[in-house]
Amino acid sequence: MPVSAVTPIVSGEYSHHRDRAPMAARVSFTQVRMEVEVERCRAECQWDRIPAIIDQMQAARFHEDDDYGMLLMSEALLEECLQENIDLLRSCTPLTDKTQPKLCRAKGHLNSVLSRGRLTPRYLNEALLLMAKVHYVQGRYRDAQGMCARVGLEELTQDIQPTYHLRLLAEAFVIKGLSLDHQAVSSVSRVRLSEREEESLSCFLRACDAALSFLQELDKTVSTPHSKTPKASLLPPPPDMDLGYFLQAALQSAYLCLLQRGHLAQGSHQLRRVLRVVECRGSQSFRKAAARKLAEVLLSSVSEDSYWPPLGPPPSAWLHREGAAASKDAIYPTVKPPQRYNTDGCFCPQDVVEEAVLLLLITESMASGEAVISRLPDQAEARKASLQDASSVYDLLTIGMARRGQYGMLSECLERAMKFSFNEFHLWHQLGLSLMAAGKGVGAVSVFKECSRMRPEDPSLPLLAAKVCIGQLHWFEEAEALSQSVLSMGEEAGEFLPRAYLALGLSCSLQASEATLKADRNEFNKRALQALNKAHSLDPQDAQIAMYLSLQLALIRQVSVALEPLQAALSLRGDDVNSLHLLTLLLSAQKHHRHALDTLNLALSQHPGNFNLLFTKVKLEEALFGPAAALQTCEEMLQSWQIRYDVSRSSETDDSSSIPMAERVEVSPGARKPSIHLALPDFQDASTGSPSPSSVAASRLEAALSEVSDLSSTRRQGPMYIWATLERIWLQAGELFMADSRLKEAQFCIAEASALFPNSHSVLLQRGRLAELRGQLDEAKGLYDEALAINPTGESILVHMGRLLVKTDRVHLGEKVLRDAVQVHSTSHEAWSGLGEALQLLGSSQAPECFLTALELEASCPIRPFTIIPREL
Amino acid sequence: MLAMDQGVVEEWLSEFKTLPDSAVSNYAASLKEKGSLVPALYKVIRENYSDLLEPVCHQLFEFYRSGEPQLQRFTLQFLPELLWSLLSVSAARDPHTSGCIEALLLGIYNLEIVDKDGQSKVLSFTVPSLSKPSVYHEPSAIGSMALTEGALANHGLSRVVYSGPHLQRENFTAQNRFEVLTFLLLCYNAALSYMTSTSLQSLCQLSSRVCICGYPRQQIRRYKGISTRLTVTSEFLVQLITGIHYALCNGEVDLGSKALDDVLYRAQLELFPEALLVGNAIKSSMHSAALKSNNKEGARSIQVEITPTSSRISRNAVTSLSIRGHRWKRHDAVDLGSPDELMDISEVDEGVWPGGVGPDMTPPTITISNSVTTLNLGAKAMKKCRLGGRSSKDKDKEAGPLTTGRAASECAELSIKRLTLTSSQSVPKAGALTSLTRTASAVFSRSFEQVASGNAPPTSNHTISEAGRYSCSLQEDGLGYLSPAPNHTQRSPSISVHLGSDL
Repeated sequence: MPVSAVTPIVSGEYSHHRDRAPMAARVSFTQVRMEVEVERCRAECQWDRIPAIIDQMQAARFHEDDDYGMLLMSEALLEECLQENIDLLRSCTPLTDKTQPKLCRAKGHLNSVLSRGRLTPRYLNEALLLMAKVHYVQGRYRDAQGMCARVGLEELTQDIQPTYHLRLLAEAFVIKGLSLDHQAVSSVSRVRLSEREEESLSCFLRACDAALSFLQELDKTVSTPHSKTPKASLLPPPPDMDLGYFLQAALQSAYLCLLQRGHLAQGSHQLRRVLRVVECRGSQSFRKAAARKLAEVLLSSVSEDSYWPPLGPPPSAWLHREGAAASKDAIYPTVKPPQRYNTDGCFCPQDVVEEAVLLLLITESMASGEAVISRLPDQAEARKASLQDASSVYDLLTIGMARRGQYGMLSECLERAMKFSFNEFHLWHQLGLSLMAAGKGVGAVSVFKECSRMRPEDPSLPLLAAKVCIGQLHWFEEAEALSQSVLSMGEEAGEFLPRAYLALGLSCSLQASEATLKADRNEFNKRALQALNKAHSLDPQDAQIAMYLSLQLALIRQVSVALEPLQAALSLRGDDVNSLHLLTLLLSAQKHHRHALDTLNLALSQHPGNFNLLFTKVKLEEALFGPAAALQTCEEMLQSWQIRYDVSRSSETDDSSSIPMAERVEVSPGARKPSIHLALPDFQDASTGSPSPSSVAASRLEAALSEVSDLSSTRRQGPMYIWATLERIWLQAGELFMADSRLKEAQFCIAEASALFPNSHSVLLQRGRLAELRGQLDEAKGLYDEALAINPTGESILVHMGRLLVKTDRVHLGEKVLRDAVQVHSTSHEAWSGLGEALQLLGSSQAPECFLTALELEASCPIRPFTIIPREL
Repeated sequence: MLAMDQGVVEEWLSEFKTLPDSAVSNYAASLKEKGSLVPALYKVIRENYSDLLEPVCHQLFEFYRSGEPQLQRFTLQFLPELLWSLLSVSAARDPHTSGCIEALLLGIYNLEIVDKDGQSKVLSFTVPSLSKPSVYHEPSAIGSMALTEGALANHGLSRVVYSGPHLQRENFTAQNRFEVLTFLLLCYNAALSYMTSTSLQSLCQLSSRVCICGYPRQQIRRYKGISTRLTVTSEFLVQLITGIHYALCNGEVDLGSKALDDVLYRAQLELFPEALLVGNAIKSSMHSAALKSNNKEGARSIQVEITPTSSRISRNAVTSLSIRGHRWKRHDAVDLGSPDELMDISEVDEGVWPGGVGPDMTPPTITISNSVTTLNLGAKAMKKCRLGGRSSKDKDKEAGPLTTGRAASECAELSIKRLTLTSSQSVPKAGALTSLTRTASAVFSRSFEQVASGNAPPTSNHTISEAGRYSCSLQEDGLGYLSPAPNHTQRSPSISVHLGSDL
């Protein structure tokens, strides 16, 4: 047989072609170039170029017969046919000769080539493999397996090989494995079945390694520019390379097969092995799929306790459970292992979520890049597919990050998805939720509004936005509009209707507290009450609604009426802190201070260390037992603050876990810790301005001012409210001391508070009061002025200022200030009585009226204002 | 309860006591073989009034305290059932039964919040970053887009604490109840892989019931237990969902998807963003998985996933990658350009070719870290040149790609130095926590004494006794009264405040 004529180049010589060393005389330069071209096309699966090359070869008459050409032609035909029918292949539908002319022709060529038998062993092998492929795609699995058995695989596994041989090797293994797998279904004997399973698995594992090696090799050859070939420059960029069905199958079958058989540990082990293979351009989309698969397996089926690190073998307990003695890769050493990532000094996940998130971030970087943005109709399908691809990654990322409370980072990831998510409700919705969970209120509200535009029928979206508006942003008008939009849905809103009325009621109630004009306030209060009544009647089982209805009644001083819904609230949820607190305040408004204190103690037994409750306790104790007794509670509060925030501050902060540890470190040993002084000299006080909603802006302002002026503010770690609490405790103590006429101690306490927030209006007020008590009236006035500059509507500031003015014979001005106070705080009996005094001095006939009003209001005045109960959705 | 079950339980109660320490691990392994034991124990927990409940709880705690992982898991498998028992009893304001369950749960909690040395346990998590090489990737291979945007904002690895340190708890209060229960679920979730399907089913039932009791949906589910609404927190729901997710993916499809729906229903009503976020994500990923599996129905063999490579996507399609030269304005709030703007960009992209910028020039943006890309990108690279040239006035904003390269090399050094977690600071009060194990058991036995002695003195604080003393009488005033029922004053968690109905 004229073997050498058919195969002018043996594989060994091939690899040196790049040196362009003068070849043996019998081989012409053109021929070498053509051979190189053929091999490159076969490696890169550029089947459309094969026919032209065959024509050239035939024209040049390199081969005496054209068996080689026919082989090439049949391969090109077959592969093109496979490319066209990839969906049929996926569903394992056999291709028939009738419907597939190309397949039919390829089969004809192969049959004749094989029957002539004039090919060298190398090309004969190739022909056999192609035939196996034909059998496989036509559903003749047994024949396919038989063909594979005839292939001399050692021929394909020699050291020096053209690149495309690695592809053939991978395909040979996978065809064999798949054929075995298909037949396994019909096997009867259990022993035989498991033997077959074992064999097919080993084929898959080898196929995978060979395929990965092939892609890496291909990467190397391609990145060497082929300047010689004019056509090379027109090559599509390799990332676009479309892996054929069998290559994809070779890459994926091993882990798919393991996972399908329920071998979770081995499946993930295999996935980790392939993912540790250095990425090359052909393997990108495969890596994307594999990384997502692994992340999916990790998140859905591996819990923290059963996790094993990526570099180690699966624990024996897992393997044992899956009925395997050892992991498979140990049993089947591969021919040519692909190159893997270096493991020195790089990040290696230690926890299941870490690994999943890492994998998903890698996947995300690819998936989001490939997402199609154009909205042309002809790209709709591609867009949909790429979007689904990306959103499944984001879903998994959400599952992982939420387990670790990483909402901030999650919102950043989802934000990246927005550029291809126009009108995609799910991703927008998730973004909104993640922003809300991360505390980014402004963004959350606008995203929820957008969501609501996409799904106007969903009542939960405006309500989510309203929740942020009320609780975080204090955008009450916005909240009102949002809840109105739900109300306009009527019955459609279903179970959300009462919640929408609640939201409306709260936003009106809060606007009423903020309103400066009496008419506005009354209007808002009226609407709030209506809305809350409606909410309560729609859902009498809701404890929160009942409680807020009661609160609203309390705010308009309908104290005894307020007890009724509160009773309902408490019978639904007896241990709710707000309900119990409100009950305390209502009892105190009825001047049953003892009962109020008992209720409060009950509340404290369920909510120990709740500072809001404790402040009320101090007030009650002062009223009942005098300042000295109350000071004791203040002292306890200081201790409790110290225990909670100063020693282990990080533990109790409710703003989740996302504070980086760095922030929690106590810095600068030289810095004076305020806690050292957390001991009252011996104690007493007055009323700290409760944080009425109107003072929110003021407190922001003073926070900003304090930041600027307080040079040592660096020593303060953690959320602001912790320090605001401490400030209020000191001020409370100061007030008690003043009430006890122990001005020196009071000064000490106020100085402590002042060190925390020097520009706080409450601090300025107390300093003013202290100055007033000491008879330094001018200084007192100056301090009240400053406090008013920061918080122009503060109730006690206005009252004290007004009274001071009256006392210092500036009655008219005092009257004006007190009128302002009455205007803004129409329920303040102190303001009314102060005004009465001023008017009396002026000889006005209105004075008695003011006193009467004051008396009336005083009769329903709680020990602390009702507004201290937070109004949130 | 059948006599046979009772026998099994009693036998189980007696055998562990006599076990020598050396035989514990064998004993733990042998527990699996006792088929009727676990169902019998479930019955004991469900029947709140059983005499066996107290010794069973005690025994379960002994198992947990033994430190033997298999015994601990044996106890943990009952956690969902125990939680339900506790929650339903406290919702029903039934003061009688939950004492020993409370003690058991608090005991487990107090054991779990400390490590072996009695130090407060802090669970932390390293946030992976693409800018640092890992066993799965090389930063240079990742497209510059992923690196310039979020990743570089906090490049290097940071470690965050996601649970702990927790305070030791001696009793349940309204304030700490969900904190404790959430932490217990976290422990349960960590061991999910070892849980039996019965336990997973119980978890799903717990989730459904907690979320729907007292709501109209309860009728749909036809659950006939308590009908009081139970309080929940978002974090608690997130932990429940994590467990449900595992159940869904590991055989409990029906119960799991019901439970997920119920939790989502409640999370929506409560407007909890965290729970909604995870629940939606799981639902959506289940949905797409179901779509996939529908495709393969009929074929039992391996289904190779053919992922769309970019070549499938029409070359003309504008992808995020192909317009990556464009920089989005970064806002804290999400204020992306409207989709119309996107269209504009793509159109401009196809049309304008600024004359001055040819492929030979090196516009500022082309300094992409991996030279390989530029070599092979062909048309794409050129397109980028164009964009880069056009936007070169935004040069300062274009620092992204430059930083990429630097970050890639630097992050190696950054790495673990940034991990600022030290044991010293994570521990709140070493003194108080050193002998927690002892305390935990002490608390435990104390509560048992209480339960046993019926009208034992109150556990501690004067507030409770005050409350007891004060069965007050506002009634005379016609106002209302507070009356903590005298028989449950020692049982703090469930208090009841009554207001006179004759208001």
